[in-house]
Amino acid sequence: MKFCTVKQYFDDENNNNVTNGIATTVIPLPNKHLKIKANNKEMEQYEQELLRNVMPQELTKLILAANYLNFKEALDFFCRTVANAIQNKSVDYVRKFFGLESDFEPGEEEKLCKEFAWSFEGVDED
Amino acid sequence: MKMMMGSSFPEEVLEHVFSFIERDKDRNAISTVCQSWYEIERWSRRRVFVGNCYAVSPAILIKRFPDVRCLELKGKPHFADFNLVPEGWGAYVAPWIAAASSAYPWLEEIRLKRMVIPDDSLELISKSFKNFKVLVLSSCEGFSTEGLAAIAANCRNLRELDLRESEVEDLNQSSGHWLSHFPDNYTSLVSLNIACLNSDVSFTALERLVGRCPNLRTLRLNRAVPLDRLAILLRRAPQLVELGTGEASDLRPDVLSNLSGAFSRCKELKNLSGFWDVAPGYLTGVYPICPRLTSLNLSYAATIQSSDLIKLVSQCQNLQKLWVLDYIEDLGLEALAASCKDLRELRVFPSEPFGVEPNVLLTEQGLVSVSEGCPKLHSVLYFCRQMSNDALRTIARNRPNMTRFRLCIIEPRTPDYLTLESLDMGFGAIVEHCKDLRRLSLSGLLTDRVFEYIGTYGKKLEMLSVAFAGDSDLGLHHILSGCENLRKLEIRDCPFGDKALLANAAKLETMRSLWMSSCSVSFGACKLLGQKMPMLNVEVIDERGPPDSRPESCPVEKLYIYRTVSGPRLDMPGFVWTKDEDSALGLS
Repeated sequence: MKFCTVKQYFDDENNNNVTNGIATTVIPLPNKHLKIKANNKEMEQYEQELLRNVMPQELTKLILAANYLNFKEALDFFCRTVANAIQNKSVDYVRKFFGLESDFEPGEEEKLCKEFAWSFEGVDED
Repeated sequence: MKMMMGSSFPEEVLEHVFSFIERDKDRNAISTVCQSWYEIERWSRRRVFVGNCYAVSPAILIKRFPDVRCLELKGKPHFADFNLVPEGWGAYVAPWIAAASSAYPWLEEIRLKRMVIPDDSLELISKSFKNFKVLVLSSCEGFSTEGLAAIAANCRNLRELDLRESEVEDLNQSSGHWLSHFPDNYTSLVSLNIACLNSDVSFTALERLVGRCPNLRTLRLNRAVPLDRLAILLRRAPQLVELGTGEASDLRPDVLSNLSGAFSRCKELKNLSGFWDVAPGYLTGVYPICPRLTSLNLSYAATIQSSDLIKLVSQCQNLQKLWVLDYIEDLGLEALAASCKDLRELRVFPSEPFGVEPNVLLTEQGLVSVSEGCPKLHSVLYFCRQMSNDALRTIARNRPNMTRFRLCIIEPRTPDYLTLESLDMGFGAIVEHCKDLRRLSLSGLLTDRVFEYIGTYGKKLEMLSVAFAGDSDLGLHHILSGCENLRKLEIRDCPFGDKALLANAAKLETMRSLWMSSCSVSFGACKLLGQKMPMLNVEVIDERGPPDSRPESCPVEKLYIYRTVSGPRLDMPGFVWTKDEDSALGLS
């Protein structure tokens, strides 16, 4: 199934999003993932390496490629990596990480934050 | 700073990333990144926790999060557990259930704490949510076995029914028979906690239910299930992980041997509770499984004395959590410290809290021993009659990893028994050394000085309970101005008044709630606070009639202040007064 999708993808001449380089990274990934799936610590290290060594724009392309190629394991892995990178971080950090800007009306964001902090807070520990 | 091209992510990819983000704090953060993220996040949030049901309304919840599957709500303030909140105060869950029944057809889990839930709501739950799986009612009231019968009859996918410490009215006609309302083809039960039920349940129905649910892992029985029947249940469910026994007062050798056999066949059993009035001889039946136990709750075992407790805990090398009566005494706690190196949580409850003289040999020494011997101990609740600054300092130095420390010296204002001084220094040592302390309860003789220490060092403190302590407003001021992460503050019988409250009004918006009873706050200050801070509900609880009918200097009985985005509540009873005292709500 994966093989078919890849072949079809390369036949699609209009698609510029995935270069050869990235396809090379994506395809061998699942094997490595499966091989070291048993060892969580190694997975974590691989994740850290990925975040350090792969440029963010490349990581974006990897995610989009995995999504397009319907590569579930790869997509899961990359999305989880990104999710872990933004856990326990401020809103500003997350914005900078993704290169996004706030487009809320003035006061709207404050109102939202208040509602969150006051009503839908984090779970109490027992 | 790294930069991904977030704006090029299609929605389904973002949703996929968000599906790995579970903590409310993180979801709240990503929600406010930008408008599109806000939309994607709110449609995909499945789990919501509302720490104060009056901080927000069902309408706001539903508007913000259209597809919630797990809802957790908390109602009355914590001091309701000590009967300080009068009957009829509020925390009615009916409006929430009514709103959820139409807005959230796919709701799976409801968890409530200190709320009032009528049978009608239970019936509505049972009929509205086809995939309903989990119902946890913690310290709730207002319902009866009729409501439980509806849940049993209609919730085909129910996994968990947990009534922990709730007050359940037992209506004669369905006495014990509500269990029979689970249909014969219902087999999905995983967890059942009926320990709080006062009356009998139908044993036949219980046995059949247990027998046909192969995934049952938690079973907490009520007193009325005798020990001789327990063996039968255990044989039907040897896969149990958590068990709460019923009562077991007569020791019978045949029952004991049956029980021992049944216990030894439960290879997964790790968590035990119950043991009401258990004859000590039965404990030998438990010995074979002791090495596997990680959690033991003997707080109802009023018949087990020190020597038997020592024999028991000495065999529980893997124990992580122990709740026990003070019958364990200092000697027993020493044995605990020697045998249970994995202990994380200890709660010691008083066997005779209203006695004047000590009835057991339990002192500060017991707690010191455990603090020395158990390196992972981080959560403590300890009732005792004597304490010293020395002991507290030792405990603090031994256990800088403490996160929850609740000390209850039974007699108010008890000084350090060695020096007769206040315990300011001792608690000061606790907050200074235990840098991750999040929960603290104070007791004993304490001056304003202890609050200065808490304000200075208690930077991670989230919840503080204070009783019979302090000298002046300065004490309250130290806490409110110093404790940056304070969310809940509950105070009773302290000389704290208007000044500190009004000077720290803004702080109150950063906290979930403040409770003050038998303090020195005037109604005038309450009205002023309510006017100054429109986002706070300032509620005076006073059963003596309109506060304005008493002199200005007369302090209010009780005060409950909480932040809210949904304005004053509409269900206040006659004895709750706000700044709008002249409105119809205030007159009764």
